[in-house]
Amino acid sequence: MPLELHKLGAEIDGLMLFDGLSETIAAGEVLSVMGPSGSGKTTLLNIIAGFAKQPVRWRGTLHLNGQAIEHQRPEQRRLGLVFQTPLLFPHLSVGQNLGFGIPSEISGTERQRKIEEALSSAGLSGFAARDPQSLSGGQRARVSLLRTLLSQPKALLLDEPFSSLDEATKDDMRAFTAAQIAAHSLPTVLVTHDPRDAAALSARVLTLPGMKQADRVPLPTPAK
Amino acid sequence: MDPAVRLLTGFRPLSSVIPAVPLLGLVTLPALLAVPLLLVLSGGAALLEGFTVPGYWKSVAVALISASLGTGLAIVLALALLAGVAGRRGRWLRLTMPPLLATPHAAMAVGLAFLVAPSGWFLRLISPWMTGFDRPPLFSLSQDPWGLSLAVGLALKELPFIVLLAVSASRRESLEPLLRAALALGYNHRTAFLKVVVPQLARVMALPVVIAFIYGMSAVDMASVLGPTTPAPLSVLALSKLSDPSPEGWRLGLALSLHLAAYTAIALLGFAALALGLQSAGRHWASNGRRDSIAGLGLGIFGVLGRLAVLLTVVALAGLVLWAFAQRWRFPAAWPQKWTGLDWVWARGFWSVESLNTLWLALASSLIGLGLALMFLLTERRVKPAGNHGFGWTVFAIAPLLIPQMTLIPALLLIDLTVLQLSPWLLALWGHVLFTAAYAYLSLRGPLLSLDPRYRQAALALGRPGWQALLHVELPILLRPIMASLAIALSVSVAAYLPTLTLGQGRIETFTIEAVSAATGGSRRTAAQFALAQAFWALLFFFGALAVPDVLYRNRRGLSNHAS
Repeated sequence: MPLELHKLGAEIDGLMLFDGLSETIAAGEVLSVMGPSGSGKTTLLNIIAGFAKQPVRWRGTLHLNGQAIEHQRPEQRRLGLVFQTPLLFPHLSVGQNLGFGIPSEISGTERQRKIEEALSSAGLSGFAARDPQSLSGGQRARVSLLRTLLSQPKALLLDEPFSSLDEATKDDMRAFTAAQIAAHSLPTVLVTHDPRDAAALSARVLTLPGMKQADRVPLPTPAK
Repeated sequence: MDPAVRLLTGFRPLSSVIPAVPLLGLVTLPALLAVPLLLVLSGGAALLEGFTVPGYWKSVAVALISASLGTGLAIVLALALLAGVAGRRGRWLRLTMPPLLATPHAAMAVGLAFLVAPSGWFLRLISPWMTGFDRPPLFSLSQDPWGLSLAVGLALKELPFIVLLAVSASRRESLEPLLRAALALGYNHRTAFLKVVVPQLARVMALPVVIAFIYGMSAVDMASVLGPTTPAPLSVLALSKLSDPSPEGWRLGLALSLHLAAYTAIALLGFAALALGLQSAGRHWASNGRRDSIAGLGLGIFGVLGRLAVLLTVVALAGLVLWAFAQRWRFPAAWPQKWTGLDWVWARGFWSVESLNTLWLALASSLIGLGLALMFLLTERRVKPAGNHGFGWTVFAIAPLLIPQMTLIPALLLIDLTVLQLSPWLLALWGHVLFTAAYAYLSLRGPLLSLDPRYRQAALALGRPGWQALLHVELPILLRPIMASLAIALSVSVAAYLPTLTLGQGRIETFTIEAVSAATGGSRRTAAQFALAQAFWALLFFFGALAVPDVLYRNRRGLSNHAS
């Protein structure tokens, strides 16, 4: 189930961020996107997710599993987007936040089992009734990623998902994320500032230089 | 630590709360005294006699129906309109709501009444070719016996208040990222709005909604124009008894004012229970995983109705202009046959007793109200522990909005008659200040309390004393929200009906008083002219105040972050 970006270009207020960007991300593969601030990393992610809006103008095509998705609304694309901040819904408990992600076709005990399994995989067994505000930053980040994965996305988009965490938590979260991506075998785009994120998760890095042609840089050692 | 020492250090020196005292004395105290004072002075006999007033129960029912339906409709339409623009630019909503907010209740009521009256514009536009009417029919859409047209009027007037507060809350609470998170999980736009954004809005919108309901229960100006007359809503019935020259009649009026406060409190308790039930059910519904819902579809339909409601308001105000300039306009002509000259515009709108009274009351009460609110807020910020987001201080500052006007204003009059004996002019000014201070506080609270404390710290670190940090750094940064508060206070005063009528003891003629009086007396052109003048000044004040920071800070884009 590959995610294909074909000749993507984007500009803001007449300034070209990137152009002619083409990539194919296979199932289970992670493409890291790096570059200086303002180079269009998050814009690229927003274009893929369907959230790009004025003043961003963009062109190109997007295919998921061979099907064009660029004209679909964000909720129709079935792309799991994990944000820089966990964005857990404050009016729902931890378990209800996970339940929010699970499709409604899954009901009753199966639903409950999935929530408990997910919490257990994150070392958060027994946290279902807890208020999200009572979790640490790392715990919230895990719940946010799990909520996205429980929605059964066809691809995963990660927007600097570790940037708000401390160093020790970052290492844990990188390993947890890599394991989840491998388990779900999803094509993944990771936007990051930190080369260690890219090294921990991806086999290749796309560097956006900003106002120039996009450049593809292979990493020497693929990381798990 | 010794408990006594801990207790003492837990309290601030009394001098630190002195700036809050003027508001507490002038605004909070009358509101706190209102109910006990009326209880004592009306007496048990009058309280019981209130139940026997002819048409009493229907009067209560009309008040409850119109206020509940009006507030409920305003909430649903506001949410539906917001759902339509959430995550989008929604420019049309941001452009149309402020002028509708600034338009006084009386002007909107008069415009709406002229639109739906038997000889109103609506029927004229479709007569006789569609209806066959060549003279006004006997039925009327306004002043219906159960207060439904009053409910629509209240809903239309509360709609911009709720929409603008919700937009401000969405921005402050950063709700758009939550909506995006739900969309990214595959939720339909309106369902995502209902499941994720509405619960956050409900938390911050509860207080404004309570205020809107209390206003609806005690509205007199709108109820006099759009409400039924036999019997009238409870607020109008109480006012008519208060106008009775006999002491018994007056006591009965006071008793009915208390009844109104009691019904308002009971209804609010009922709504609180309903809200708790909805909250609990809503959480289960939110996490059931359904990406689309019938409720989302319903919200879409109400979104269309919301747009129609905005259109209806604009058409009603356009009709007001026509009636104001119509010299002769026989039914069923769609347009006036003969127009008035422009001479009344100056004589009535600018150089008249009504105009001068409206202007001085508005300017004086708004500046005083803003000053009181600002001093109170600065004290609140200094005294309240960091991270305390409780509403204790707020309740004191906006106490006049939490008690029906029809209860508060007679109580203030009693305080004056028994103790103070101020002139009607001063007393009316005080009555206006109760509301201008409360609304100024409400609109300024968010921006002032959330102002980054490092601005002040930076000024202090540069060797400036505290008062200079306030005057030269903080207040200029906050100029936009301060002027927005002034704009709101000005339009509140221009629209004030009951404080001017009751506390002015019939001696102060303002646009509002004359518009309502002419509308209930059947003088359509006069009512339209006063209502138009009232709306004109309210809008001029409103946009004038908002324009000041735009002019002063036209090259300071960073300051727009502090507009709220």
